[in-house]
Amino acid sequence: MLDLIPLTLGQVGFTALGVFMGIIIGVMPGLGPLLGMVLLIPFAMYMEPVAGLSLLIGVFVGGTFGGAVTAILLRIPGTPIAAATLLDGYPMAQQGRERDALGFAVAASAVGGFVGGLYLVLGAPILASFALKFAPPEYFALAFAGIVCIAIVSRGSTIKGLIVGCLGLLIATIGIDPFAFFYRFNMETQWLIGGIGIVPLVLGLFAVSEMLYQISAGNLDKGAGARSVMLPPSIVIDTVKRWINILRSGSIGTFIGALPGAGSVIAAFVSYAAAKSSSKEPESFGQGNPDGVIATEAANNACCGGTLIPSLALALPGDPCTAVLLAAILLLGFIPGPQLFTDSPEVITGIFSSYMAANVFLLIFGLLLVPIFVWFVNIRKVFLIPVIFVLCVVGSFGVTNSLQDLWFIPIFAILALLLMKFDYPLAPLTIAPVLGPILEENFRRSLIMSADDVSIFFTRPICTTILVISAVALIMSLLPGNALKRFSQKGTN
Amino acid sequence: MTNRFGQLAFIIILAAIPVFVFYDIGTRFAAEGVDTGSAENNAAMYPRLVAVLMAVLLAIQAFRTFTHISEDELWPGINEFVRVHGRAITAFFLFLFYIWGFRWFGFVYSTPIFLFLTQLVLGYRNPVGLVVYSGGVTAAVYYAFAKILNLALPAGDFFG
Amino acid sequence: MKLKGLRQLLVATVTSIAMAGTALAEFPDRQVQVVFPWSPGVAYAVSQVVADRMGKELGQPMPVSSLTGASGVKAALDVLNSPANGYKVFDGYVAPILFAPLLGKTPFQCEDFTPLYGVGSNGFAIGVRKDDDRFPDLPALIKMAQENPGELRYSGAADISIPHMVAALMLKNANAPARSIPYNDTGEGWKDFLSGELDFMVLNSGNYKANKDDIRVLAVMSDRPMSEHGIPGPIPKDFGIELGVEGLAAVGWNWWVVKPGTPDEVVDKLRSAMLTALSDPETQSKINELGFTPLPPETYHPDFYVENCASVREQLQAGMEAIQWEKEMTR
Repeated sequence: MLDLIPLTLGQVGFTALGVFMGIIIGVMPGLGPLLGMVLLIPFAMYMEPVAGLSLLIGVFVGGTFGGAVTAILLRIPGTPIAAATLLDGYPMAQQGRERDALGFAVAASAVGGFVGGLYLVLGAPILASFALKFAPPEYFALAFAGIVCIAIVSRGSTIKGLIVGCLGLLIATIGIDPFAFFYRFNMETQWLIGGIGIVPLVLGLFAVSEMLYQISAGNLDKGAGARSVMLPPSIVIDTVKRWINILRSGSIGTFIGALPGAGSVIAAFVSYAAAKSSSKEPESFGQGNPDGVIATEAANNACCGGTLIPSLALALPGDPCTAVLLAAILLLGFIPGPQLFTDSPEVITGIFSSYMAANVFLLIFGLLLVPIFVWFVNIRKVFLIPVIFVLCVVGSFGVTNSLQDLWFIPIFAILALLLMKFDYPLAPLTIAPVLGPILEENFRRSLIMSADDVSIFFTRPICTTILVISAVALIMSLLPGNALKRFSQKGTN
Repeated sequence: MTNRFGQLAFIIILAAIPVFVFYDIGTRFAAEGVDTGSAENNAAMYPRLVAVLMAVLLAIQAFRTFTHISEDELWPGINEFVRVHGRAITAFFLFLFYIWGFRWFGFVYSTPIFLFLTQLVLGYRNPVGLVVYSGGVTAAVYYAFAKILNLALPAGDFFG
Repeated sequence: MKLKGLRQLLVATVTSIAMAGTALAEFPDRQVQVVFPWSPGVAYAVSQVVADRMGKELGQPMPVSSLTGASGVKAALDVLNSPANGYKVFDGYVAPILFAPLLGKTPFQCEDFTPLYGVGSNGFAIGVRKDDDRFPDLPALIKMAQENPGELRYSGAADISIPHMVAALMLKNANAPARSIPYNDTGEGWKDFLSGELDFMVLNSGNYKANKDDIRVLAVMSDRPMSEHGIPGPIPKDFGIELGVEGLAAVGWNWWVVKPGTPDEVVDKLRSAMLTALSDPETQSKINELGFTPLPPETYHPDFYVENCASVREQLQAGMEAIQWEKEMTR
């Protein structure tokens, strides 16, 4: 069993810095934790590994919360994650109770995140030790289930999700073959033999496309006009008094977060629905009930802890943020996966500790520094958008050190705009390139083990079970009007 | 252009990807002899499987286009499109020029020019603000990446 | 007040532009990256020891980054596709720089790189799980492989790699085919070995040190017993089995190299820093502790690199044939 180790001063400092920067990035229009993490990878690479990861974890936690500030103060969600927060945060703000709404959001996020952290610390090592028994066929099955799950829960039809998933898997095959000496799909250029890195891909898909979208949306030279508030510290006590709600929402958030592809948006809506149905006065939900804010915020921050469980224990990322985090772990010189728990426990405990510390900083900054964050909320887009463009180019160059790879950014930006225009989800395109090599290597390794006999996938209990479950889930989601799909779509529409 | 027509057109664009995969496997892979055989040396095995799957899914989606997708107008006329998205299109071309200039003229020269022009396109007109912003952001980013991170930002192939 | 801030900003901008104009500072003015071709593990730690010490000498950090794929060739290509300025050093293991080019599919040869110094060598051994009583000794394993051709599974890291080669050579000489499962590092298959998916494992001295309690060594893959820092155990000759290679061809070794065309003064600087790092007794003892044997810099000197490539290449040809034989026998 792993224990939490005390972080060094530097790690604590970088966690705090990460949370602070994460909130700032989270409050700005169209930006979220993902972009923050990608842009900070080059900085993390230059640090001692655990400190670098602490910085990224801090951004992950802070950025997930940041959207709530804009949601409540401006009545628009800064990130899709905070959409559910609006349901009660908006009426509360209308009634002049912005302070309370934001206070509950801060405290619930921090405490909910902590609940998620407890599940993470307890659950991930158990899952990892179980996963040590997994062999290539099981890994293939898990990666397969991950892709299926992402396609099912992401926005739009499952078929479209799967199409984008296939596209992502094919993108991952560009470059040198994992076993044979052969360059695949490189169009005879040297440029593509190293494959397509996740950093320019994510920047193009999410940052540049979003900035272009924002330009068309207009209002470029107007500030958002959010007014600053000071939060009463006593709100923490009021929040903790509603501990049943927090515990329930945190648990729901963690569980949904642990499912590949489900993510914090769905976690927030499911937890909101659960809070409403178990409330004594469900009709007050949507009218400004603090429990609504608490349920969504506790769930979406607990969700971060949840997504980290399969990401760390199995090296299977459930959302684009953890995909980036796993890429960072690799860049820092460690192989993510169950072996990391035995080979380099200091990395795992470092991540756990900084995740816990990040939630403490979230509470402190959230209560004290709202005026600073409001200043960032009010930044005019005409100042924000050009900087983001520059940061995308410099940030990508900082990680890949390649000038040619910069061209991937506009290519994927256009692809993202087209996919969104035609209602195809983007998430599978980010996760599939990370899962792709795991899928392919273990698929082929399994076949090498069995002398090309495919029955190896159907004669091993764990592997077969995982494959059957994913097949059933897939078929269910393809049936017309199924509940699974409707439920998971609730949050994203 | 109607939504249905657009959806179909996009499916055809996406279908180019499995077609390319099959083409590359049929030509280059086959020439090297890595398109068949056992899993160890068969570089085509897995991408072919995924491409087949993608082709099947695209076919299903093309069929569904006739049952599930409305005949709504997808895009207004080209004039309307340019009116709404003109700025974004211009900004995108500036971004392409920036990536090009980043290599040839280096970070220090291309960045302030890009920032200056992009802000102009976005409708910002204060001359002092434009200069301070483009210079200040360049200096700040330079400081963060070149000084703190010691990253060698491109100095411009054109100059040396 | 406002004007003053503005002026400062302008001054800062102008100076930064001026500084960037005079970009040709003395090497190294930033970190020097070491590209390591396998997954992080014991061999990675060895490279880190040398890189840390060498970085101190150069006054810049030298991070080691792992880039796996295609038996290490992906990492070699990464270095060759970067500018020849000395900021990327390739951790040239014998598999990517020498063994893979034998297949004739790489756009480079061993001699194409500009050498720095040789770093270390590590021997290999065949090990089984401690409680696996099917194999009391090497002859028992050979016998089982002969009776069930292609049924036993093992990992010798990547397909085209020295650990795989030495095992295939020995198995070929004993006419006992087994099935090799490719992984990106000797350590990566370890999990599958311990959980019983693989029957035996080719381990390096680092793997041995780290996992002594879980394994039993059946034979050390060498033509003579290993030194005090190596793996203890019998050698195939003791059982009357020929290994088929000798000397450096039977062990893994790495030689740090840079892209051809790197300016001489940069290469000289890297060489002198590396020589200092390798000559430091502390570096040597750290490498020893990790289970690797430091290569003496006077013998593994840049002047002898080409010679070294040529002499090992000849022996590797036999290894390539053994791998081909194994593939035919197990398909």
